[in-house]
Amino acid sequence: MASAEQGRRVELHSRLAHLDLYCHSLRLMGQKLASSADESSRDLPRVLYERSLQLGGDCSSALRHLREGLDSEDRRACESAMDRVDMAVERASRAKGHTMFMVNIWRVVDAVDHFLEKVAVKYGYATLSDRAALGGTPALVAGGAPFDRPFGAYERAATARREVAGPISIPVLRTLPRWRARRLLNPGLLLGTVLVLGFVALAIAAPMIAPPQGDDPYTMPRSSYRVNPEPPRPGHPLGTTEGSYDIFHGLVWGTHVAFRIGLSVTAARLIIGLAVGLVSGYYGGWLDAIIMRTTDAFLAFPIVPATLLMLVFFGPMGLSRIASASGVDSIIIIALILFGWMQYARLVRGNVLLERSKQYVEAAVAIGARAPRIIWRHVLPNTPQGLFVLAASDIGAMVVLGAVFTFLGLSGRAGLADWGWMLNIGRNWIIGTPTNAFQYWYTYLPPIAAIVLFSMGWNLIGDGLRDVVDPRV
Amino acid sequence: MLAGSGKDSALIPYVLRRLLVLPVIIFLVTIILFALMWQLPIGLRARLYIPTTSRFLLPDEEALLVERAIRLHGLDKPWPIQYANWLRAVATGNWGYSPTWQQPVLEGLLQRAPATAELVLVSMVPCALLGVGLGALAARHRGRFPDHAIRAATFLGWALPSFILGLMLMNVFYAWLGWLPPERLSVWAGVVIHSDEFRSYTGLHTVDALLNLDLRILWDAIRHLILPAICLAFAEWALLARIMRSSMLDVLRQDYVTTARSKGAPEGQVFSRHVRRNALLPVISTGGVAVSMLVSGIVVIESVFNINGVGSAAAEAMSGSDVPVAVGFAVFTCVATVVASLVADLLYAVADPRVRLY
Repeated sequence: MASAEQGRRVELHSRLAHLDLYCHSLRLMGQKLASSADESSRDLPRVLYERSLQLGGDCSSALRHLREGLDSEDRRACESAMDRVDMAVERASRAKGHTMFMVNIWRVVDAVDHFLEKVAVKYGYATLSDRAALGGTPALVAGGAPFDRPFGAYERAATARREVAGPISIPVLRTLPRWRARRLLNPGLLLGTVLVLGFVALAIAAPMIAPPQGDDPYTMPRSSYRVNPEPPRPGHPLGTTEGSYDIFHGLVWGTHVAFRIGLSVTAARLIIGLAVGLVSGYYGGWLDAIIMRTTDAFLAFPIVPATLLMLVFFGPMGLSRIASASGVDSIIIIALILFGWMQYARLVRGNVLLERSKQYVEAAVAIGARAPRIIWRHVLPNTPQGLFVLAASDIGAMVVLGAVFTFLGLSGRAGLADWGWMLNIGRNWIIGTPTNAFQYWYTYLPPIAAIVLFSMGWNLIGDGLRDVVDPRV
Repeated sequence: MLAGSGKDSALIPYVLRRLLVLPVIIFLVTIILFALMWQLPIGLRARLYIPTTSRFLLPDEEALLVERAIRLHGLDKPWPIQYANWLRAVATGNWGYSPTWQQPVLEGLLQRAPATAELVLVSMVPCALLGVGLGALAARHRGRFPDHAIRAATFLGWALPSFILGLMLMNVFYAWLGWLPPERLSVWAGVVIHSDEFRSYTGLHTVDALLNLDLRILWDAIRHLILPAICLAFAEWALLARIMRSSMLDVLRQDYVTTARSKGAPEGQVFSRHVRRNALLPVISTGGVAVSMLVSGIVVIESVFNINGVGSAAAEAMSGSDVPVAVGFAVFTCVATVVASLVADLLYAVADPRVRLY
C-alpha cells in the first residue's frame, strides 16, 4: 500500500516536473523574446516564436497527462488550467504582432504557474523557481534541458546571484536616452557636420591656399591703397575691398578667428556652467539660493550691452589695451564668457536636482561616499542632456556675436582678417551705384555667406543632436 | 471649490514673495556693475560726476574738475560708501554727463527712448502673434507640410543673424528697389515734424501722425519702420515659435487632452480650451530671455538702419569710450530686463496656479 502510494507519488512528481520544465523553458524563452525585442530589432528569428508555441503545446499535453493522477478537486483546477493554456496558445498562434504574441505567452506561463502553486505544495514538489530562490542548482541543467544551452535571462539570473554575495558596488547608471545609430544619420546633422568640417579644412589649409604676406596672417594683404573695391581678377579670386585688401585672404583666415572665439567661449561657458550648476544643485539650501540669485542677476545683463560695457571699460578702443595676436579682442571673449554661462548653469542644476533624488545617489550617500566623489562619479555622467545641444548652437552664435562687435566698429583694426570687420567696410558699399545696386557684391556677400554658413552648420548640428538626445520634440 | 478658494488666497503671497526677491536681484546687479566700475582708474570714475558743457577742456581745467568731483562724491572713500553714493545718484536721476552727447545721460536716453519704443512695439506685436500662432500650427500638423515649412523658417530665423538680414534687405529694398529707406523719416517729413503746425504728443512718429491727422507722415514713418521691425522680429519670432511648438506637443500628450477628446469635445475646443492655454506657459516664462535678446537686437538693428534710438546712440557713444553712457545704458537695459522677467513671472503665476505653491 505504502509502495503503491510511493509509486503514485513518484509518477506524479515526474509528471509535475515535466510540466514545470516546459513552463520554465517557456518563461525563459519569453524573456529572451521580450529582451531582444527591446533592442529595437523586431525581426527576431521565426524559430524562437515557433519554439515558444511548441512549448505552449507541451505544457498543455503535460497538463493532460497529469489530469489522470489527480483528485477530483485538483482535476478541476487542472482542467481549467488546460483550457486557459489551450486558448492562449491558440491565440498566440494567430497573433499578428509581437506584443499580442507575448501577452498570450505570458498567459500560458501564468496559468501553469497558478496551477503549480496550488498543486505542487500539496504533493511535496518543489518547483524550479522555488529551488532557484533557495539557491540550489536548478534541476534544469542536470535533468537535460529542453534546449541545448541556457538563454540570456538564465545567465543573468546566475550572475545577479553571484553579485549579491560579493562586495556591494553601485553601478553608474546612465539615464541618457539611448543614442540610436539611425537617428545620428538625419540629414540636418549630416549637412551641419559637412559644413563644419569644410570650415575646419579651410582653417587647416589656410597657410597653403592663402599664404600670408609678412609675419601676420591675420592681416589681409593689400596690393595698393586704392579706396574703391575692385572685382575678382587673377591674384584676387574674390576681388579686393575698400583699401585694396584681399577678400579671399580675409575669408580664409577668418575661419581661425571664428573657431577661436566660438570654441574658447563655449568651452569656458560650459565649464563654468557645469561647476556652478553641479555645486548649486547638489548642495542646495542657502548656497543654492545665493548662486541662483546671482545667476538671475547676471541674466539681467543683455549680452550686447554688457559686452559693450566691458569694451568701453577694458577694451582696445578704450582704456587698457588687451588684444591678442589673432585679432580677436580678449576682452570680447571674456565678456561673452562672463555674461553667458548662466544658461548652462541652470540646465545643469535642473538635471542635478532630478538626479539627486534618485535611488542610486541615495545609495552612494548611504555607503558613505563623499560629496565630490558622488558628484564626479554619479551625478556628472548623468547630466549632459541638452548641454551639448546648447553648446553646439552656441559656437555658431558666438561667432555671430563676435562679428557684431567688429561690424559695429567697436573692436578689430584696419585690415583684420575677420568676417565681421570685412562686413564693417563692405557695408559702405552695400548701396552700390545708381545704375547697379549690386555692383560691389564681392565686398559683402563673401563674409555674409561665411558667417551664415558657419552659424548654420553649428545650428544644424545642435538641432540634429537635439533629435538624437530628445526624440520627443 | 477647494481649488478655487486656494487659488485666490495663494496668489497674493506669491506676488509678494516674488516682489521681495526683486531688491535682491537689483542689489546684485548693481554690485556687479559697481565691481566692474571699481576696476577703472579714479579719474575715469570721476567722469561719472562731472557735468561739463565743453567737450574740449584744458588739461588743468579737467584736473581741477576731477579733483573736485573726487572730493565732492567721496571717490577716495572705502568702496561701501562709494557704492552707496553711486546708488543714491542713480536713484535720484543723476546718471552723469555724457561728453559725446553733450547732455546728461538720463536725459539723452529718455529723449531717444520714443524711437526705440516705437520700433519695439511695431515689431513685437506681430512677432508674438506670429510666433505663437505658427508654433501652434506646426504642432497641430506635426510631421506634415506646415510643420516642416515652419520648422525650416524658424531654423532660418535662428541661423540668420539679424544684422546680416538687415544688410541684405537694405541691399534689395533700398539700394535696388528704392522702396524702404533707412533712418526714421525722410528729410521733408523731418522738416514737417519739427515745424510749429505739427504737435508732438508721444514722440512715436506713427502715433503723432495719426493724432495730427497727417497721413503722409504716417505712411512715411511706416515705410521707414518696416525693415528694422522685420529684422528685429525675425529672431524673436523663431524663438517663440520653437518653444510654442515643443510645448504644444508636450501638452498634447497629457491625459487631460485625451480625456477631453474622449468625452467628445470638438477638436477646436480641445485646442482652444485645454491645449493652447497650457502650452502658453513656457512661452510666457521665456519673456525675460526674449527681452534680453530684444535689447541686444535693438543695438545692432538701430545701428544698421541709422535710427537715432537708445541703442545706436549708446553704441556710438561707447565707441568713443564714453564711460557715463556705458554705465547708464547698462543700468537702463538691466532695469528693463529685470522688470520684464518680473512681469513674465507674474503672468505665469496668474496663468498657472501650480506655480504659487512653491
